[in-house]
This record gives sequence, C-alpha cells and structure tokens, in this order.
Amino acid sequence: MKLHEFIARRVILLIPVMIGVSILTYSLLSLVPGDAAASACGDKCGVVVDTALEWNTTSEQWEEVSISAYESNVMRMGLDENLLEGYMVYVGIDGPYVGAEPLRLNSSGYLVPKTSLGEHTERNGLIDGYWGDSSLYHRPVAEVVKDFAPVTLEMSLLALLIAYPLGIFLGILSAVWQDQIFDQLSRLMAIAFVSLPIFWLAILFQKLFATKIGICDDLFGTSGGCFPIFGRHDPSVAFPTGDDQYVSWYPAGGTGFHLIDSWFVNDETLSLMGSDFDTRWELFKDTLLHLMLPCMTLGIASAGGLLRYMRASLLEVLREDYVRTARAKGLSGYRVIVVHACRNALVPIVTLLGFSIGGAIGGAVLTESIFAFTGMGRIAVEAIQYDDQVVVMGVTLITSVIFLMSNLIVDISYAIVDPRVRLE
Amino acid sequence: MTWADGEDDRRESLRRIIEGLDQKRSDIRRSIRIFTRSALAVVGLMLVLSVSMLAYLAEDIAVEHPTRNLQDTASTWRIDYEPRAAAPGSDECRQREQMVSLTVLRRDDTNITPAISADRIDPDTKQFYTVPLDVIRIINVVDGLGYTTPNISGNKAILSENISIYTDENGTDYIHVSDELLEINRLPSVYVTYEFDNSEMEVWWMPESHNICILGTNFEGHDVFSKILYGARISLKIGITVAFMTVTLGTIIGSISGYYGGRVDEFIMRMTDVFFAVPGLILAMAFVAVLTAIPRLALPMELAVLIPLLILISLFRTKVDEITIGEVKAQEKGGQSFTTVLGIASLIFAAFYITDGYWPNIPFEESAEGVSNSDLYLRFIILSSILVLGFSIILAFTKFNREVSPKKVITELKNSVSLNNPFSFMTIRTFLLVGVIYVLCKSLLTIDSEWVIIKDFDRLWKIQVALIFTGWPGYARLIRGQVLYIREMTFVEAAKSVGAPSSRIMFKHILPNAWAPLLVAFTLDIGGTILSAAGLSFIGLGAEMHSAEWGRMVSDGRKWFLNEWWLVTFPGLAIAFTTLGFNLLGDGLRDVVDPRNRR
Repeated sequence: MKLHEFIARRVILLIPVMIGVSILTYSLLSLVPGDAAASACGDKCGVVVDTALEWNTTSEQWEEVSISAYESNVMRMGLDENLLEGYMVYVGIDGPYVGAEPLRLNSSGYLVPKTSLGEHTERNGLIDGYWGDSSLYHRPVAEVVKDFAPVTLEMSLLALLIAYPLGIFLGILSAVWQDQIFDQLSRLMAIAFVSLPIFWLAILFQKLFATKIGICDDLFGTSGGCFPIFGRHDPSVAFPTGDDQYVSWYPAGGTGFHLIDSWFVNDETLSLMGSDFDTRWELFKDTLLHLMLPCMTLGIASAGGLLRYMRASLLEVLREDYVRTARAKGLSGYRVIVVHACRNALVPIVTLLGFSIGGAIGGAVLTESIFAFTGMGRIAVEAIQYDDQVVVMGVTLITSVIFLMSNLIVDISYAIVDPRVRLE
Repeated sequence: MTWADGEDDRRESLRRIIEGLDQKRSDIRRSIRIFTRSALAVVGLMLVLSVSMLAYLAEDIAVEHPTRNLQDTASTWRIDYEPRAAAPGSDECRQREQMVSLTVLRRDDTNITPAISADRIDPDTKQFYTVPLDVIRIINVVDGLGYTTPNISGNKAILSENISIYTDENGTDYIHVSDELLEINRLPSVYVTYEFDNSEMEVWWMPESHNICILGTNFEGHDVFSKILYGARISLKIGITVAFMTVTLGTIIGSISGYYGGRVDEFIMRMTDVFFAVPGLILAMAFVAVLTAIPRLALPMELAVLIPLLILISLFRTKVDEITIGEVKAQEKGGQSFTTVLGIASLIFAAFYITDGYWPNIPFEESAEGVSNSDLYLRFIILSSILVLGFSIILAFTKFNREVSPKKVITELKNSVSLNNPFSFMTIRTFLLVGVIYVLCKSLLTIDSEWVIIKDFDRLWKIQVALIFTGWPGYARLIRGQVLYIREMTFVEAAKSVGAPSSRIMFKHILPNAWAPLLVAFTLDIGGTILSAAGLSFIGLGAEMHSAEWGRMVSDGRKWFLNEWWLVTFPGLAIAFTTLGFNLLGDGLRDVVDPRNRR
C-alpha cells in the first residue's frame, strides 16, 4: 500500500466513527426529557415571531395564524419529526422538514409555516458548524466550544510535553536497571502516579509550589512559591485597566492558545499593560508560568503509564538479536541502549500519543476548576448543572474530533516512520 | 450387573477425582507462589483487604455517623450549630461551644441553664433531641462578637469570671451565670466553650479518654475519620458495582461479537470505536448530563414484560427444540438460535422504540381525546407489515446469501410462517407473537405503569450508570480477542463437531477459558472506577455536598486547604491508597494468570 492510499484509507475509516459519535450525541440529546424548544426560548416563548398557515377543520381552508417563538423552535429543531428525520436535521443533511404533511403541534389543529410549504427549509446542522444554541450562554454552542476548547487543549498538550520526557527517561532507566532497587521504586511510582487522584495532587502541588508555606520559599528563596497559584494570567495582564472589565488583549481571530497569541499582541494593547508586562516575552513568560502548575500535575499523572510502557517496550527490544549483535561488536552500553535499542523502543510509545491526549484532556477537565482555568470541563459541568445538555454534547463532539485527529496524525506519522504498518 | 461389578470403575473415577483435586491444589499453590513472589502484590492485597474490612465494620469503628448521606440511612447524626474545624488529635474535639441566651435567663428569672449536647436526631422518630453533658472545665467565654470583655455600657466585666459550673444533687451540670452579667441588659448572649466528658462517644478500640477526632473535624462539625470510613463503603460499592456491571455487559457483547463474527462483529466493533473516540471522562459527563434530567430509572411495563420473555425464549430455545423435534435435529439447528433470537429481540425493540410516538399523523378517525382504538389497530397493522417486509428482506440477504433465488426465498418464507415447521417458530411467528404481547401489554396495562429499576435514582446512581455505559467497550474488545483466540482451539472444534449448541459452547467451553485476563481487567477497573467516581464527585456531578464521599470531601475542604490541611489530605490519601491497592492487586494477578508465568 502506498502512503497516500494508507492516508486515504485512514481518513475514510474516520467517517463512520464520526457518524457514530454524532448518532451517540443525538440519541443522548433525544433521551433528555423535557422540552428543548421551551428551554431554548426561555421566558420569551410566547413572543410572536412568524406567521403560518393553519388548516381550519371546520371551514376546511387555510388560515393565516401567528406562531410563537416556542412553536418556531419546535419546527426549527425538528422536534416534531421522528428520530431519523430529527437526526438528519441535527447533522445537517436535511433542513427541518416542514409542510409536506400537516404538522401537529397541539390537539387543536395543524400548523404549517407559510414560507416553505411542502419543502425543506435551509439545512443548518453539525456539518454547517451549527451545534445548537446554548440556553446558558445565549450563544451558539460552536462559538462557546471554540472559545473554551483551546484552554483545555493548551494545558493538555503542554502536559504531554512534560509527561513524555519524564516517562521515557524513567522508563529507560527502569529497563536498564531491571529488577534493581531503582526499577522497583520507579515501578511503584508509576502505579502510584496512576492511582493518585489528580485533583488531589493538584491541590497538594498548589500548596507545595505556590504558597508561602510550601517548599519553594525555603529551597529557592522565592516569595510566595515558585509558580502563580491559579489563573491564566497575572491580574494586571487580564485586567490591565484596573477595573473589573476584562480586556481581551489578543487580536481578533487569535488561536486561543495564549502561548502563541502572546507573540501577536498589538503594540497598542501592550502599552496598556503595567510596567511588568511591556514586552511580548513578558506576556509569554507570564502565560507559561501560570500553565506550569496545571501541566506538572497532568504530566505526572500521564507519566506513570508512559513509564510502564517504555520499560516494557525497551525490555522487549533489549532481547532482540541486533542488540546482542551490537553488544558483541563491543559497543559501549550507553551507545547500545540510546542509539540501537531506544530508537526502536520509542516507536510504540509514540503511537500512545493519541491516547495520552485523551487522558490528559480528561485530567484537565478535573483540574481546571482548581487552577481557575475556564476550559471545556468547567463549562460542561456548569452546563450540566443548568440543564444545558447541548453544550455538553458540543464538548463531547469537539473532544472526539480532537482525539480522532490526533490519532490520525500519529498513525500517519507512524506509517511514514515504519513502512511495515502500511502492509496491514 | 451388580454393585460389586462396578468396583473397578468406581475406584478409577475416585482416583481421577483425587487426581483432579491434586492438580487444582497444585495450581492454586503455584498461583499463590507467583503472587507472593511480588511484595507489591501482597501489599496491594493487604490494602484492599483492610479497606474492605474498614468499610464493613464502619459502624463499629466510626466515632459518629458522618452526616446524612445518600447511601447510608442515618442512625444518628449530629447537627452542631457552632462547628469549628478541629485539627487532628487536638483538644478541641472534647470541647463544645454552647450558646447561653441571657435574654431567656432574664425572662425565666433564673441563673442556670443545662449543659447539653448539640442537636441529635433520633433514627426512629426523626426528631431532634439533646443529651446532658458532664462539664469538666470551662475553657473560654466570649460574647457574640468574640470579645472576652465586651465593654458594654462601660461595664468591663470579664465574662469568664462570671460564668461557672453548677452541679445539682442529681449530678446534672448547669452553666451558672452571675447576677452581675445578667444585669448588663444589652448583652443578649454569651458563648461558653467547655470541655466535657465524652466517654459515651468514645469507641471500643480507642484508648480511654483519648481524643475522639483522630483526623480532625471539618467546618460542619463532622468527624473526618468517620466520614472517611463511611466513604470507603460508598467508594467500594461504586467501584465493585460498576466494574461488575461493566464486565457483564462487556462480556455479553464481546462474546457475541467474537463468536459470531461477520456483520455482527463489524457492527459491534464500530460501536466500540465510537465509544473509544471520546475520552472516558468526557463521555461519562455526557451521560451524566442526560441522566441529570431523568428523575428515576424505570422501564415501560411492556418492555419489562418482553425482556424477560425474550431472555427465557433464547435460553430455552434448544430445550424446547429437543422436546418438540428430538435432540439430534435440535442440535443441527441449534447453532442459529442464539443469533436469531438476539437479532429479533433487538430489531423488535428498535422497531417499537423508534416508531412508538412517532407515527405519521394520519387523520384516521381521530377523536379529540387523542389516540383512538382504530388508531391502535392501524398501528399494529402497519407495524406487522413493516416487520414482515423487513424480515423477508433480512431472510433473503442472510440465509441465502450465497445462492439467492426468488423461489427459495418464497419457500423459506412459507416455511417460516407454516405451523408445521418446528424450526421456524422463532422467525415471523415470533415477531407476531411478541408484537401481540406488546400491544396487549400496552393496551391492558394502565398507561403510566412502569417497572422501576432504581427508585432512588440519585446522583451517585447516575454517575454509576454513566460509568457503566462508558466502560463496556474495553471489556467487549478484550473478550472478543479472547474468544477469537479460543474459538480456533481444538476442544471448541470438538464440541462443535458433536453438535453442541452455540450457547453451550460459549458458556461451557469458551468463557471459562477466557476469564483470566478478565479478572485482571476487573481488578484494575475497580481502582479506575473509584478514581473516576471520585473525580466526578469532585467536580460536583456525583455525591451531594457534605456527604461522606471521598471526592466530595476533597472538594468541600478545598477552600481551606492552606490552613485546615486535613480536610483535603486524608480523603485524598484514602482514594490514593484504595486505588493503589486495587492496582497493585491487579498487577499481581496479571503475573499469576499471564501464560508466560505458567510452567
């Protein structure tokens, strides 16, 4: 199989999974009892928004009636249609199908919108980027998710930057000194890292590294800990004008990853900041410092699993013939392990990257509230508490997209590195 | 043939039994040897055992009932209106701050008020009651603002000098307030902190007159140690329930997938792909989001009647066949029964579930009240015709996949309706039968009749259900792999060749050989579930506030983690140790069941 064939195959295989995920979220949404149409219009349900034709059964002719926001929502969301058609509307294959047959909204009569009698209205679903409207945030879900997903993602990706070197390094040492004291300790540590509740670890790290009574002040002579205790920025960066008004200092259309965005701040906005943050480097440093504590927590939690995989993988490779050959040639132990064994042992570890991102996002969701990061986890929890399930489904969808995409990238790069994979 | 003739046979069979037992014993011995070779595994086992023991004996060990929580109905618990977080092992645990209302004393024209405990709740009557306390000494007296010398109207009375303890002839302790203090009319109340004899609150295992709060108390006045003990119950219950249910669900789905292969396998595997495409915790949150809106878990009565019926049919299908058409023929046909039944069941459920309530609104003699009888019959007719049509298509595409000829399809259709053909009674006739039962149930039972599965569908149950639905795909894949591997083995082939039905092959031959990795995954999963459940509780989706759940305790104590460190540390340690125990145990078990360790 050629590489482009392999890539095409992988991409095509993603389609059923994406369809499956959308079916899952749709069926979960349709399981929610209660009236989605009513919750979408809130206290404005009675407001007349449109006119429609109503079939008057006594005079047997169409009459023009006004329809309320609620009734309009029912039609727009496809709630008056069956599960299959509702799914079509949700995904965006079909527009809300109105008018082909009289729509029964209540027992009094039938309503048909005047504008599109017997036709599909314009489709507007998942594939068009319309993921529903959040009743909590009063915004389209796609916008809400787009604002908050980068926060979680930035945290998770940076956490993996910590987890991978740590896990791989300890894994190599563990495999080299197999069954010695260091190995036993690091294996115990790996299991312990996996077993520790991450939210608890986060709180402990806050106390250890970000407070006066922590270890930092004694060890490094800092005042008030090595890292900021929570938040994405220093208060004087987030609120440069001093009042409670949050000033977005990133240009419109920024990536949402503040580590990147900080390099593209306007000079004008930069001049607003206090004297401590008058360069872009200072802004970047501030963002990075605020990310350190969350990422250390997530990184350590992920490193445990990586350590075990790396150890197992390297032990497997060390039994191979070519390692024995390399040793027999008289190469130094360091060279055998680093150049010959580790290269091959690393390949399976890299394929774990996709799964690690999933795990790190899950962990980030738990720890966000501790570090006062407003990311996907926090908005999802809030949405659950306010019965705004559409947002939760939006979070689910975007996470699955991120997860699948990262797995795809990992798979493709694996196929480039190791052509044997393509044969399968 | 007499009894004595069989002597040799009996001896032989006895010898074999003993041999088998010996084999088993040496197997177990070897397993234990492998297990104990790793010190960590033993530590894990000890941890798990001790946590389980603590959870089991929580009522005896705990100092007090932690608080009213969702899982344990309260025996007694305290409401302390003036709670202070006491540090672990501090004297404050033996102290009580009681409010003495001087206004009431002035009104009643008395100087004394009894020293009583905080409000307790009687388990039977659910009424508040208090008990008198034996005061040892007064520690501190303050006014409502916390001053020891309030300086009201220029009167600089030192409060502690004006409060004393008065014991009457019955031995009851009273707080005595001096006349001087009562004369300060603008002083409404004082708060008296005193040390009391708490021997009745001490538990058997503690040294005499020892502090009752070894791990401190929280700001609600709850003893952290007791809460942790009761929390062990909740966590273990959640962990084991969820892991068990997940294993069961995963095993059923995975074994169907692995054994039958083909399209069933493909479908199930695509389904697991979908579940794997979302990180577990996020998916669990999505499920919780939906379940939050559901007040209780109940099935419509018609489904509640149908499901056991279908399970019974599928279980006794071979038996019924044997009775009706003889053993050999049944075994010939038996292989298909399991899939057929499951396929039919799921089709029927899907058909009823999707179509019910979504029928086209055909104005068919509809009365103003809603669904009329004619509508019901109409539905039934439409449904039956859809089912017959659908099934004939399925028949055409599955049974005659290789040689499709219209004639054969028609013959088979005729056969499946024919009452003379014993093999066909699970096909179209089953559809009709089940459909009729469904409609009967629907029309005979009252409209709202439900089969309540979980009556008190609280938030802990919700996260459990969410975790079950999120967790099964992992097991399904694991079991599928095992089944695919074992299916090719010779003994399965042998069983097939003597005509054993597939359900028998599955339950008697394949699954008993596939349990080993399942056990490891199960043990590891208990730990993982405890962790996830605690996490969900921590972010506010699981246990209610102030309940004795470890994740919730960490979350409740988070505000004060700088000074009142024990509120966060101990519950977190409890989670960590329990999870660690299960993980270490699982690792040890993996060493035991791993084929590489078998010699």
